[in-house]
Amino acid sequence: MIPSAAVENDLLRMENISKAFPGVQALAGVQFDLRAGEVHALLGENGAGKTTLMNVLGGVVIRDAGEIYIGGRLATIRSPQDAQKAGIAFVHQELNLIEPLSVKENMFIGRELVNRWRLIDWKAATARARKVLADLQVPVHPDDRIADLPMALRQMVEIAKALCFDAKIFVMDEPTSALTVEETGILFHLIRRLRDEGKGIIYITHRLEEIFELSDRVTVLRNGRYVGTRETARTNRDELVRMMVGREVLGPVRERRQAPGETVLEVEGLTGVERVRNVSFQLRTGEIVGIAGLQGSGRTELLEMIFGARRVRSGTMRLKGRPYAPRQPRDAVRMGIAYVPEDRERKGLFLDFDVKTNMRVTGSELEAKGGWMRERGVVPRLLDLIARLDVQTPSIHQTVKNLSGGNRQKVVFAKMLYTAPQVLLVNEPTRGVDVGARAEIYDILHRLSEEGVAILLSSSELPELFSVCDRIWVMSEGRFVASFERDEATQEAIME
Amino acid sequence: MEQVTVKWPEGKIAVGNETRPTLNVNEMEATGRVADLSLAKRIGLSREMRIYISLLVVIILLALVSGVLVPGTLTASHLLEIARQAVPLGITAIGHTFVILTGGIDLAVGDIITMTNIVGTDLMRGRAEAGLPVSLLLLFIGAGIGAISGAIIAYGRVQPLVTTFGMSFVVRGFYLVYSGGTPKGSVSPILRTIGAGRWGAVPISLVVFCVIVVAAIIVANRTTWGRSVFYMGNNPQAALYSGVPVGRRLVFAYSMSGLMASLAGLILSGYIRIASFEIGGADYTLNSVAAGVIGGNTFTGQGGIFGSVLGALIMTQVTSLMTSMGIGQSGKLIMNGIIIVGMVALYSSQMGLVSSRRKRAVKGDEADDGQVRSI
Repeated sequence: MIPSAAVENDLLRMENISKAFPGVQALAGVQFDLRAGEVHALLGENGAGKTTLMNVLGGVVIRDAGEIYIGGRLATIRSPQDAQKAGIAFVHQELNLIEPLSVKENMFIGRELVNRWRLIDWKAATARARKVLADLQVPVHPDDRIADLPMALRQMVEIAKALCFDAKIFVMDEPTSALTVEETGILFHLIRRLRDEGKGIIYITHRLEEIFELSDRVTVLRNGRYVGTRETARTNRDELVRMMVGREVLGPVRERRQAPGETVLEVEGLTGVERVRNVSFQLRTGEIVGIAGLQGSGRTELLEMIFGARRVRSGTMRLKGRPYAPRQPRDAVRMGIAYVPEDRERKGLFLDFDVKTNMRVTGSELEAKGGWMRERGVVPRLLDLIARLDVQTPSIHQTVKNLSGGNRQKVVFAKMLYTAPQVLLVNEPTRGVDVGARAEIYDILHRLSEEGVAILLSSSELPELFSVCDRIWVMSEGRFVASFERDEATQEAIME
Repeated sequence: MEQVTVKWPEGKIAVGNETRPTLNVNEMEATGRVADLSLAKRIGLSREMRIYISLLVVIILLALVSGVLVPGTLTASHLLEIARQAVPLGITAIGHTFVILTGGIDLAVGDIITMTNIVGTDLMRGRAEAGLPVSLLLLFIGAGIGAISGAIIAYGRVQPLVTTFGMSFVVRGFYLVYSGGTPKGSVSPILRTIGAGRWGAVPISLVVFCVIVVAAIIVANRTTWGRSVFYMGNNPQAALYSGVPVGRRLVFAYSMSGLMASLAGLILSGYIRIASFEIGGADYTLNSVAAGVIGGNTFTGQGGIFGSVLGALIMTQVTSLMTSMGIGQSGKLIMNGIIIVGMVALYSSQMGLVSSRRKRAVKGDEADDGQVRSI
């Protein structure tokens, strides 16, 4: 194919990219282009093919068909090394940094600067690292250990690392999913700087707000197909959602109200070893209470103390009027308290095992008599949960690794709902989950509350709390600092 | 604390009180919503099944090759003899598999085997009536040693390698002191019958072994204790958050390892009849890991007991074949090394079994998009 004039002005052009995995056409004739000095958002539900397209670009997945032009020239990318040489850098959801090592060691992994004795030149590395970090205005010292840095700074180190390799194309896959509002602001600032320096940024996200805030153009994929590209300034939310889902989607609104029932969980003066200070509250059946707060405000610690996964220093808890002091999560689930953790891959799932195994882990622990697992009736019950939560899986023997983010999250919910809990603790339930599955998860929460389950929902996304919760408590530095009834809360009030 | 029993509203929805009937499984399969396919109907077999089948093929091939190279080895009696030789290693490997699956290792098993021999023969001194009580005592001690290792690992948060390495010295030191440097005594006739006796052509130890294999498979697959070993190996944190009492279950896994090691020690002692430092206990430590790994077990909770059994059989076949061909110890070691690495390389390349953690690090979240959307 002869490159056209337009092609030569592009930093990157991907044409007719196709890729099939066993049983799925992940990409079918997809096109994408990127100009120097722009942020080009890539939008689509999970399963739309965004990540596969980027894996093709990164040489992780070998395409079945299609061409990739970089700087107007046909490029052969058959391995991650090829991609790196071509100046393509990835900032993944899961970062490729080695935690026990220092920033500078990470920045030069695989490309250590050497002196004339072929020994690693740490002095030069430090100087180079310091310069790149300073240019980016990243407040990190080359000798800092990655493990000590917050997520936002780790991402910036990843970006700095890419700059050391002279990257021109940055692929950012959901970079803000683990960031606070402020950290997101800093990251966006950095992204704009990269753009202004003439780099091209491919920005993958589920969050429409970010697209309007950051991107110049947006390309939408659906079911492995190219739907269209729009100038961000000339499109709107509704159009993008339509392109993404292929139908109109209503925003999540909680309409039906019911009077909350009696108090199930009372917490009095709860103080933890980490963060949480003197928290007291009462939770009633059939209500959904939100906990707002920045990352690090102690939300996760609070929920995990209630779940028995973290140590309590002082304070008391009562469940249905009886003293409740879990020593480990097992005690909590036995007492009817369930927890959907914020990090489902690390705390919630066995990725190498199938849907059945994952969904019944907790239930089988509770049902077992003398250690013998119950077998009769388990499968119908799992199928029932799968149907009710609308988990998209070809069979209960599907390995969880092969499910999308939203479906993985539903498996975690199913695992917990199997035990028919009375109190459900939910932490960031829609992180890394697409728009469609997000609405379904809100629906699940509403249905559960109607059935009388008391739900405590911790989230860093205020719109989520507004649309789902009856009451919202605000946490800051381990304390409850404010509480709002659903109608009186405003975004501004909570931010204060 | 009051315990909430899991509600099983048959014919009612699982997550609450809505009284719509539970969907019928057949109805669901018919509507194509989701399938619970039987083994045969699934596209392809599970990882474990594929591994077991390939191991069985290897075992048959080895028997045939042996029959060609060494005439007279393709007879029922010779094959039974090989199987008998595999028993102590097989039993050790079964126990060790519980530990391997959790992502750990138990370096004390070899010394537990030797200790069982030294202490057992001394206490029995050939007396028939001492056979049963002493055997039970030793099984109890073996399990106890494992339990201590497990408790140190679970509650003291010491690495399994370090803990069990230390434990192996303690056990060795104990039996050296116990024997005063010169082991003496002999096993009870009962143990001799179990270790070396036959029912017709069938070695009794082989029958005992079969019972143990079945029991271990049931424990591993049908009890929460056994299943949790897989969970902890694949994702210890998720196991904890799923309500698995991780501490107790680690103690269980290492107890199984210790228990099986002392059982192997008893059967081995029954065969050689006397006390000896030379019963080769130390060889069993790493050979049992090898049998587990050849059997397709990973340190990330994938695999199964039966694989280790087949792995032990293969290792014994190879050793026996090489012995009859006059190849020395060094040749055997080299061959074992090649088999271990070769089999694992085969599993990894053929079945895409590169440790999932590594794959994730390399590929990012590829699975997010590589999934099946509509059914």
